[in-house]
Amino acid sequence: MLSNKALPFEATNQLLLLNNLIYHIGVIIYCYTISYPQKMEPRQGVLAANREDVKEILAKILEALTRIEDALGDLYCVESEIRDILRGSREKAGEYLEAMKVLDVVTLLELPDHLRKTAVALSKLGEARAQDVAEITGRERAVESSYLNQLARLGYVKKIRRKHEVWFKLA
Amino acid sequence: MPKMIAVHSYKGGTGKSILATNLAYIYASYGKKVLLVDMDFRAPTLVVAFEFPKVKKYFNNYLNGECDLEDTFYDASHLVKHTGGELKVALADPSTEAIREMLIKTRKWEMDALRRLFAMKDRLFDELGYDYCIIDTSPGIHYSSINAIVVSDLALVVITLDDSDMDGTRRMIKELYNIFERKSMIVINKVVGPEAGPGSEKKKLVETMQRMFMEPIVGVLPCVCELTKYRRSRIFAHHYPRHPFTKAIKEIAAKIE
Repeated sequence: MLSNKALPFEATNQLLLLNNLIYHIGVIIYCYTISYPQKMEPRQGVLAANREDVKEILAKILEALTRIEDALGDLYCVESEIRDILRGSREKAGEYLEAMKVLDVVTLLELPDHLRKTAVALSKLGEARAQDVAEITGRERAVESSYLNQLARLGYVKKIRRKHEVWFKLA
Repeated sequence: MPKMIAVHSYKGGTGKSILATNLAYIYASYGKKVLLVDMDFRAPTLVVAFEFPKVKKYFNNYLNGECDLEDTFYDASHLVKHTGGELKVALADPSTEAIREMLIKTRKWEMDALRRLFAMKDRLFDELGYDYCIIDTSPGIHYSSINAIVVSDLALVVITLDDSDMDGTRRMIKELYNIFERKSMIVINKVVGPEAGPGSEKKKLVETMQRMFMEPIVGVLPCVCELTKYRRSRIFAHHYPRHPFTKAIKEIAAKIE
């Protein structure tokens, strides 16, 4: 399975560096091939190969480097696409998880009766203490505190501590 | 005691908007302060019924948090002048763009909308002194209609004698109103023949329906062909105060009160 670890950010940079390096080597070889006949006489060290042979070899190297460069370019595009897909999946998954925690009317319908009553009261208040919710539902403060904590554990409600008081607000 | 009433139905075309509009008019004509809200965002109707010349803000804007509640009110109190009553109307945006936008709202938005509706209720009854808020909702189980039902004190369900409508309504009462512990009352609309008349047939129909839905039947409205003849912009109860249809709605208003 693909994961972000399979294609770390450093790998992309290394690919780019290699790509650049190959490109520059290619440019140097190409310039050398073009200028060589005018500027330099073949040294003895260039051994027995004549000028035309050297040009041919260098042209082949240049061709091979160009192919490598193209392939690396393709690889970079693929990597970029994979990264986009992964990023998109993460965002979609995030949105989904976010939506799961919204206390809308459909979620209210799915909650057990005792929690629904508390959740509707909190929907009305927006932000409240257990005592405030208890005043609406007509149940004991301790009971509402327990239900609000259950909603907080389910991720529908945020629990905030303010000085000595505990407040609950919709997530 | 002030009341928020959601006029709802399982199917479309049952006569919700006509009932909501005329009920609001009748309460206002009794000297009450009434707000009529169009929350049928998928098929706004009240914009045609009242024909206000310049509408700048719709109820959509309030739910979007783009304006204050009172910015969406339009005054139709001229219809009830000399009665001391007040009739304000908040309209749903009828533009295609607004309808499309309302269809793709997120669950988070719906949650915020519910909170705004609760805030509206507090403001209307505790600060602005309204006696009634009547909400015309979208038919069926739809986000905006469930929100309206959750926030209302009473769901007034309009049914016809169509089998699928009655079956759907029965399920809706069981799976929606009862779950939210919402009080509901039923109005049977478009009744034809002797069952619509004052005799024993009507009584029998009411008893049968009451057994079927286990909820009070507060009105049986006759099928009135004239209704289709007149433009919606004419509030029926205003133009035909002595018509049997108007009388039937007045009876419903008295039972709800």
